[in-house]
Amino acid sequence: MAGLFDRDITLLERSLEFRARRNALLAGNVANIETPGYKAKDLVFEQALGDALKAQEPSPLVTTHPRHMDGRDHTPLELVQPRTILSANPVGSVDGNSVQLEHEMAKLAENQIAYQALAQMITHKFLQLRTVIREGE
Amino acid sequence: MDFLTAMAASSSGMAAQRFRMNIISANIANAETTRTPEGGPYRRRDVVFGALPPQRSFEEELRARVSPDAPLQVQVLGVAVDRRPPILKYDPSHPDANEQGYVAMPNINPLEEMVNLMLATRSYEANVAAFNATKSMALKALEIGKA
Repeated sequence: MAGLFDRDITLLERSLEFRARRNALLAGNVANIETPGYKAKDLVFEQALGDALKAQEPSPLVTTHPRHMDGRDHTPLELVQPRTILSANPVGSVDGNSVQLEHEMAKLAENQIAYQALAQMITHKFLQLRTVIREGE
Repeated sequence: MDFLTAMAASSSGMAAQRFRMNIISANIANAETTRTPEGGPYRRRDVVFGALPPQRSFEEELRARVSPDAPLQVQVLGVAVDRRPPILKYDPSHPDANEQGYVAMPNINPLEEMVNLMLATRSYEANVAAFNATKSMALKALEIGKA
């Protein structure tokens, strides 16, 4: 247990951060729906976060010093970076714009709901901590 | 701040679409205008949109703090004048008629303008929806730590 705030809170915090950044990108896509040549963007991070979680499982090598190598593929949760990708548009358009409004609105809604769920979860995490600190009062 | 950049992107979209609505309204209003300051009949106008990175402050520029994947905002790059030739209408009694009795009328198709107006309205609404999504997320974030 590393300090008062465990890995779950870090994971929730990173997810919230990426969801907020994704929301900004999607809002930019909607704003540029009629800009010629604009390419719709998206942010992917689920895979990277999952890998970072796996990296924190028990390591194959025993370490007795913080600077020892433990033989695992290590990207700490705190340092995970999302990737910006261009959204695929199979239909295409004459002016080179690749924004599909339906897809963007659906992603916005999905992202918003996921964000609210994450915010709810982190709120409960803090409530749990408070319960513990107050000895269940 | 991601919420603020998201809101700025959405509002740039709203501003651009509203500007476009103004231009379309001017096109419809001037569908019969035969005299203009530049001479000749009114020529329909169209807006040109461009995607630009958000404006950075001097400090951000100095520290290069803006990430390359920041959302692009829409800007109205200019108003293009349509090159379509005017429609010649036979009306000898019109004060702007030429010697043959033809008046050069603006080449404006009301149907085309109405379709563009609908497009602008819908795009505006899409931006409002995106803005509201951002707003509800920001409000939800404020609830963390409450209760």
